Amino acid sequence: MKKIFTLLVISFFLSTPLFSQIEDRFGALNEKNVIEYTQPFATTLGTAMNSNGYYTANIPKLFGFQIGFRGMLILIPDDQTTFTPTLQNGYTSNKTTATIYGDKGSAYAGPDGYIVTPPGINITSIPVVYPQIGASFLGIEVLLRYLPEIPLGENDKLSMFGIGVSYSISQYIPLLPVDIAAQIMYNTFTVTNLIDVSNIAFNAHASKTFGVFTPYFGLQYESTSVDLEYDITADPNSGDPAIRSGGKKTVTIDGDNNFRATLGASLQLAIIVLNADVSLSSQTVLSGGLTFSF
Amino acid sequence: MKKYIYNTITAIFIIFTAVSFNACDEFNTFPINIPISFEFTATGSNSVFNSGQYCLEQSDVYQDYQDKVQSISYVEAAYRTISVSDPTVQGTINVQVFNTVTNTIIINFTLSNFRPADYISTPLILNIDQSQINAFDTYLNNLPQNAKCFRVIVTITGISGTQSLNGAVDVVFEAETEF
Repeated sequence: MKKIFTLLVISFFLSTPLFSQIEDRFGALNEKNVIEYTQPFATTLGTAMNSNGYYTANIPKLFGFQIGFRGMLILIPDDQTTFTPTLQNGYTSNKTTATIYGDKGSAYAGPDGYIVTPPGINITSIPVVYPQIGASFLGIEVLLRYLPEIPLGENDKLSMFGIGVSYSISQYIPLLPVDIAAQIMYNTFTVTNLIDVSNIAFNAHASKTFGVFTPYFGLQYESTSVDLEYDITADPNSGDPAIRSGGKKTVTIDGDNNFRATLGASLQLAIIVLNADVSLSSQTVLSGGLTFSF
Repeated sequence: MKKYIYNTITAIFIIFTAVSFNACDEFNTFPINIPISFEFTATGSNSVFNSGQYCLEQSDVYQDYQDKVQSISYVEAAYRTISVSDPTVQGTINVQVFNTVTNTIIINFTLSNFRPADYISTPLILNIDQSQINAFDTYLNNLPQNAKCFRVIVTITGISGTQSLNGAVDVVFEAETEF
């Protein structure tokens, strides 16, 4: 059990180098531009946390238990790799600059010297993996996603918590040819002194089982809010007064993920369930899961 | 059964490790923009500003990344007027960048019919020939990390008598930096 837990922690750690690089870039932006720069990342966090909450709408009426991994690959569209910065009077935003996922930053000449914007991390997709356990009884399923506090350096910690409840609707409609369920999920993700993410999602999903094979479809409304705390690195040569003075800043960023449609299928082989689906949203998500279902 | 579950989890972990590290290739280097400024005051005719030897490590931003810089390249430079005593004054501006090792000119920019008052709100972007930019990049990248130095000389002609001009030349470099 200790070895399995170690593997889970290490798999999540695969994403943490991302945070080290990102924090450096925030410090070169004022509050308005850091929101534009970071919004695609907020969208990714919300998209990831709100994904892969189901692989069937057939919720057991007797007791059931499941434990597994959820993995996803989030695809970043081109239009989320650049933005036009907001500059003060005397400066012209005559060219775009990189968002967090873009390539190079830009430089804007003006009456107080150059304002420079940071580069992005130049990636087109992000993988995310996390564990999930669930239990079901009388047509109700409860999901839980949890990571205990994981130290990241001296003072920072990473933690995750998520809970979801699914309820079988089709149990009240006996002759319905498909299974239908409704689900609500709430997830949080925190890196202390940096980022605090909260997500909520509501969906309805349907599935039909053909032996070991179950295709499923769902429609989901979701919302993501990210509180970002960062330090502006003071640069006396910047044309931006906020960058010249530096200081600690806190901003709230809403993710661009509001609605998604999901289509997928699962395969049950004894106690092992493999599922894969694609979700069409602000950022397309390719998801997969491995579940041990008892 | 326990061993089977553990082996399956290990296989999935390895697959996602491979995917994650592929996505992490782009983390190896990233380009940062480093702005620097040279302010000067010109009074009377033939005013010459000499920056003396300026080294990139005098920039706070460059200092933060100095040990990880893999290459430096010139991005853009601009002249701006901070204040001018007579808005009608007109002359010629010449900006030169020198190789401090050989004391030779790497960049030479001249603009005649130069009216400083035109560049208070809108800077003058220095239109530098690409061959000069390439020479400047080569010069900087051949210098040690802690000794990337050059000299800037700004000469303003046509300002007469008691007229004065306070201006600045701003330069942006891009440093390809190791993660």
